[in-house]
Amino acid sequence: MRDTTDKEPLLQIRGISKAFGSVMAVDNIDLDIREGEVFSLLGGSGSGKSTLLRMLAGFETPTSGQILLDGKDLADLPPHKRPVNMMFQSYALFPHMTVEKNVAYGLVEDRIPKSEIRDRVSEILDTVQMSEFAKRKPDQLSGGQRQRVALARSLVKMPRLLLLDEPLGALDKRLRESTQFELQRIQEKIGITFIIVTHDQEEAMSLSDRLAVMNQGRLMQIGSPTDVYENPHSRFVADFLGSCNVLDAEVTGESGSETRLRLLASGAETVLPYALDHPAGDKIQLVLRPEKLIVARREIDPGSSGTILKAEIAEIGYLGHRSILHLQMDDGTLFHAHEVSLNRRNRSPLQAGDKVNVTWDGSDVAVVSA
Amino acid sequence: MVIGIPMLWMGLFFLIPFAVVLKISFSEAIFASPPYTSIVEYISDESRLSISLNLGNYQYLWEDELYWRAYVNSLTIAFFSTLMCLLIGFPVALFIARSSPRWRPLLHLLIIIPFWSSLLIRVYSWMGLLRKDGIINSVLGYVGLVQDPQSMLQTSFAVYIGMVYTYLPFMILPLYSVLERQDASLREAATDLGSPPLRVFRKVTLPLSVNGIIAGSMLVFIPTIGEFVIPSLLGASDNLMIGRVLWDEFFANRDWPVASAVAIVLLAVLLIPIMIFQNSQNKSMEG
Repeated sequence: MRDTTDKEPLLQIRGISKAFGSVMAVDNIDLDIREGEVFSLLGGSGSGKSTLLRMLAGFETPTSGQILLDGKDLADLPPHKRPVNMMFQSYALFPHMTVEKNVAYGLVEDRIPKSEIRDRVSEILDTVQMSEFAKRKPDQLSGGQRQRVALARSLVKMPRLLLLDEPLGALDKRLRESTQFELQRIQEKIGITFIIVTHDQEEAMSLSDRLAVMNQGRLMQIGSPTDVYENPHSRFVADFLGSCNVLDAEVTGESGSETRLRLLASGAETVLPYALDHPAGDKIQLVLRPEKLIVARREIDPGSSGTILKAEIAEIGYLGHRSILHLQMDDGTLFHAHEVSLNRRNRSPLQAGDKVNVTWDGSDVAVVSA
Repeated sequence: MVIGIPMLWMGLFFLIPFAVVLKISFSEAIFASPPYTSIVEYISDESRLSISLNLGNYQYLWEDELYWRAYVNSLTIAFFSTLMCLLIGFPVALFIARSSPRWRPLLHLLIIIPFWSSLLIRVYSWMGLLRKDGIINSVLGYVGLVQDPQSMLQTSFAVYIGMVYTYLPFMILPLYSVLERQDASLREAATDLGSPPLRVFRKVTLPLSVNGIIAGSMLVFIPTIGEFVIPSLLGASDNLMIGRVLWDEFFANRDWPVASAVAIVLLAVLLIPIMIFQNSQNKSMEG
């Protein structure tokens, strides 16, 4: 991850709201985007992420609030004059124009000299590796090729800000992964600030320097992918970024830099290696990612949590690179754990029906308010 | 099988009648029933099948200025009627396509409603409106715009009004259907890349409507060129259109061979440009 913290924010979103009738699609959002950053807005459908993006592009007018780009209010600029370009989810390539004409469109509209247009178009087509398709029409291209043309067309004007609406959404899974790295390579080469809207948490996490999780028009949490994944502040964010086990617990005491808790389901004691600002008696929820659980048939040392729970493996889902264990805990709850397939010749892999011990490291637990 | 039924339809209702008319156009008019000679004759003494094609009807059309004038006149009226339908129809179609989905069915219905009444009734209504003492002149006179009202009937103006009024829906409907299907994100993309609204229209909306413009123009041009009722009722008698000539030859002169020749030439005038156009379309699709 690049260090961008010392720069002035390129984009400042100040208290922006958008109401459609009585529905608040975007509800009083404040957000700073730094120059050169790849920022993702992550949320489900109806979370307001697309509306926010369309307000930046100028296709929607905010009900209230302010958007500043390089310190200047964007409200005064109609969409065709904003130094902001967008890559559309449907790609929106002009079907009556060749690849070349599509890419050149924005430069022609800016009345840039013909020879310069030719150079810039061929350079950007080269960057996205589409030079040999310059004379094709969009309907003669595959989905992945169309995606590259759309990217080239939105980049060629060198906007201050590039908005990407579900950039990988229309691609199949295999193409997605390679395109993801391709997108990163191009962004690093060109250095334009990206704002990506997506509902796909893997896409958001792998592409972005920072991301924001949106729900019902509000920003739930902003941070680096690691930060948001490891330290979700709410149950919603924890659930949205991958699967998790949620344990209800009650604070029983605090000693120095440790917090002692009692798990409500099993009554077991557990320890967090940090202080919480919750007094004893408070009910909280603990979030444990499936890959943090240590599962074994033999007796094991408890992790720094000091907790061992007994369980039976109800089911195993084999995914190749890892297996998902469905654990029926003795306290009646259900856990999910991941087991990485390390060794092909593992003589005694875990099997459904095995009685197992489950533990975890206290530092791997995230706390959300109940 | 799937293309068999349309082929059968074409054969029964287009090709066979066409062949009959083509055949009659090569015969001679006689006073009998049917009022034309047979072009195929079997001469039994000589065991010969004799086919005689009489080209005199076509020569007659070529030489008589009346037919020329009628063809040119029809083409001119059809061309300008089509142009006017396009200029009026495009904004209307655009308006309907861009209005909220809630209103579209109603607006669509308003376009189609005139078809629920007979063409004759609609043309007669226009006669009532355009007469010397008609509604339009009365209103203009009452307001004081016109002191000395003139009948607007029997003028080209009346013919154009009748044509444009009658055939406008045929222009609007195909235009509406292409405009309505246009992806709004294409216009947004053009805007996003720096086009002000009028440029978006010229560079995206209009080029993507070409198919609708062609379809609508053909749907207006082809029937207007042979239109009979409207020019007969609203137009001047010295401003002949080819439909009227055709009618006169068939029913007044009972000269079926010349009437058939007129019809065949009209068909050629219409079909040949369409075939050339389609051919070039296919070529540009391949290229």
